[in-house]
Amino acid sequence: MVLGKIKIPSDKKSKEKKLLKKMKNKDKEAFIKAYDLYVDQIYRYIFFRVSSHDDACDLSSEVFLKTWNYILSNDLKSEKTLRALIYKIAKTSIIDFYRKKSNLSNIAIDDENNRIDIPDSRQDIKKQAEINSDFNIIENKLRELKDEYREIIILRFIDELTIGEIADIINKTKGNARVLIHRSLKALRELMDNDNNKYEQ
Amino acid sequence: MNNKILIGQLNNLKNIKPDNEWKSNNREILYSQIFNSGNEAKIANFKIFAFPQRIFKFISQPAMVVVFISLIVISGGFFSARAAKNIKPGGSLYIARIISEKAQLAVTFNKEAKNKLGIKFANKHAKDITEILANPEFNVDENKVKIEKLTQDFKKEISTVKDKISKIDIGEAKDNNKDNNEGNNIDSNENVDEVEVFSANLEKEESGLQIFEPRAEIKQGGDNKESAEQENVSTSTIEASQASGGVEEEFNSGNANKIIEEAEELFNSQDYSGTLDKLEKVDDAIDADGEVKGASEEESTASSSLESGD
Repeated sequence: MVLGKIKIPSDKKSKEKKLLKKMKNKDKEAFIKAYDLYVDQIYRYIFFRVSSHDDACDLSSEVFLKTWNYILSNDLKSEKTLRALIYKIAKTSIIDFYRKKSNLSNIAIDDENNRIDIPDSRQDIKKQAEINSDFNIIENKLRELKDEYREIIILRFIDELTIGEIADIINKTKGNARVLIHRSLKALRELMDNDNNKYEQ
Repeated sequence: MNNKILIGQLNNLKNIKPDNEWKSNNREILYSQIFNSGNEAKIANFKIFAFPQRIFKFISQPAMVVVFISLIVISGGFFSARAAKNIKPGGSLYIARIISEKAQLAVTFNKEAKNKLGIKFANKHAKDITEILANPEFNVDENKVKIEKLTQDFKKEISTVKDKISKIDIGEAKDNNKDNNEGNNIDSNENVDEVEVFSANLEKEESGLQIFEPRAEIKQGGDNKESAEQENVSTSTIEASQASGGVEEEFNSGNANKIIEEAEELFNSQDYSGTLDKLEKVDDAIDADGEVKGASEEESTASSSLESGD
């Protein structure tokens, strides 16, 4: 079953629980351990949403610092898992990132200090030629997806979050989260099928 | 393409990771940032210390300090007074009882109440001494020195009671005199009013209002007679009241002292139970309505009790 449970190792679960407990006591060492545990996932989540390695790096470090500040000023009573908390902060950071970016795009086109890169179609073809592996195909198709679906796919099938955690992050019920997972997977499959059909033709 | 293959391909995207170099650099930066963000973590780690700190913050407020100090003083005074109440003379903590009594006397500002409290305390001391001496186990030749000391103490307490009773009587006598003087003043004021009315009539007489003269004269004559009678009555009542007051005064002090003297005599004749009875009577007299009753009342109650066969 596609939407079946993703098994999280029990030792990892207990480790996360311990970390959250320590985090409630504002334990700095525990937070560094949490960084080691989640930095790859958070980077990946951000990377698929911002499409630039540098931006993903900057945002990832910003997310961890914001999380620490949040921990200092809150008692974390309402937080179910530490991972969900970091993802929620990452999500709001991405929204802030695009908000800032949209403000910058209002700058005049002739502004020399803020030049906008217009993609070269020839360069695009060249780049496409380099993408031979499945790895790159799925990555590109993922980027073509609607932002909402892309987020769900990353959370569920790449970072392997539970349905409860996803529902918590996207601020919806578990039922709604399940429906969204189903739809986003269907949308990605259709995109992949369309692409395959094009090549076959 | 089926979902299984698709999910398999998506799983391959897990290989997208940041550089290890960036990760370690960022780790160090984050480490320095969070370790410079204050020492809240250390405080929070020790819940035992964090909780009292919150309480301490609440307690250290000036209003709370005042409340706590006053609570300690009041409760301390209350409990020590209660605890000291049952300490007998000769006990090691008897001094604490004396101190607490003195403190109680010091905070009583009404003179009469102070005297009454003094009587109560002295009477209680005398009773306690009597109770100790009434104990056959204590009253033996071995404790001769102690017994002598207690006997002296008893005499002192009795003289204190006498002093206080006489003070109360003097105070009451003064009050009575004051009342009488005030009463006399009121009467004299009334006389002044009458004189004024009389003079008004005279004025009328002078202005030639003859028509009222005979009536006024008659009335004046009548008034004079009435006033003379009234004066006689009032002076007689004043005299009577003064006389009765004086008798009551002598009665109070004399008979209260009489009970005490009787108690003293009984004590000297080593009739301790009789002494205790007499001292109880003094206590009852004080407790009855806060005043030292006259011996007549005491005697009447005693006689009534005898009549009833008690």
